[in-house]
Amino acid sequence: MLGSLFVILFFAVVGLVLFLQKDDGYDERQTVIMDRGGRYGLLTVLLLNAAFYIFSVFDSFPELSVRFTSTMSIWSGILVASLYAIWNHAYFSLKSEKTNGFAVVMLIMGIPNLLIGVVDLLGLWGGSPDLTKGVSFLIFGISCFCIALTIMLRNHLDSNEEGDL
Amino acid sequence: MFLATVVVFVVALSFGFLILMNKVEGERDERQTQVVDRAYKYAFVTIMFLNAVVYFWEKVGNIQLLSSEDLAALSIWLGTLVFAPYTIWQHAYFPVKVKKSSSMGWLFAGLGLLELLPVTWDYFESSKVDQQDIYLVFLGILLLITGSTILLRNYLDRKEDEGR
Repeated sequence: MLGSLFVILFFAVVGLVLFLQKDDGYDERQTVIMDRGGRYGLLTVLLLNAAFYIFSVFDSFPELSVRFTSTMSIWSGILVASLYAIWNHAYFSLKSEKTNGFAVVMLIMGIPNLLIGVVDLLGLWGGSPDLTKGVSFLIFGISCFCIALTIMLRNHLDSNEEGDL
Repeated sequence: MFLATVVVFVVALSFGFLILMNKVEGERDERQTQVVDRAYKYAFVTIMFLNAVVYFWEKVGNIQLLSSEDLAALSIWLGTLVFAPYTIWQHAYFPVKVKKSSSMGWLFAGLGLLELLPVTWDYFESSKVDQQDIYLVFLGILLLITGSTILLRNYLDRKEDEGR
């Protein structure tokens, strides 16, 4: 329940940002970069799915749940595509100013998910560790955390570069 | 089962041949690269959507539509199915210098039929299909759609050239 809320909140924030930027638009270079980000995201997901499929053939590997594989696919793809776009200045439109604010929101969403994921994986709530639930929270938390850190680092490097000029 | 293995091997060989041919004939031009990247993005979004639907269906509805093995195979299949027809339709599947794309179209369509026929035969003989047969059907559909799209695109291009 809590996981679903976080996921819905994530898409609500990203959707709101995209909606607010709708009129600003992206330039041609940014569109090309985002398409290429989609390529890397797709290749990541395909490789991951190929690995899941090969694992499922061997009986010695533990059986993976659908929730686990779909969560891993979604977040790994989003993470690769997002980080590539952020690093190449194509995640936000040219007119966006408050990208650090977005990073802070991502960070706020990422930290509790990371903590819940670790607690679930170690079974600290009491009871046996829940691998599927723990990994779902963890990968979502890691994704938000990495996106936030990359935005902040990119902004920091850009401001340093501008300072040198 | 032996036939299925042979067919899958032939399909893998033809894909290898296609990749090799693309390397030999040269790289795609700038427009084609952009179209290919866009196709990757569409395929990516499609797979994300599929995974999200399966996830929520299971979580909210408590209904398991697919096993993790089937979801992995279906994701790869659907991604390729979105990518191939889109790039073919936008003249970006083959590099500019490739001339004999129709022969590739016939090859794909033929292999697609070859995948579908044994399963259809099995079904009429025993009235049941196992999981391997379903994978063959999906592979057959993919090849048939890809081959048909190449042939249709070439046919329309020829018509357009004649109209000039």
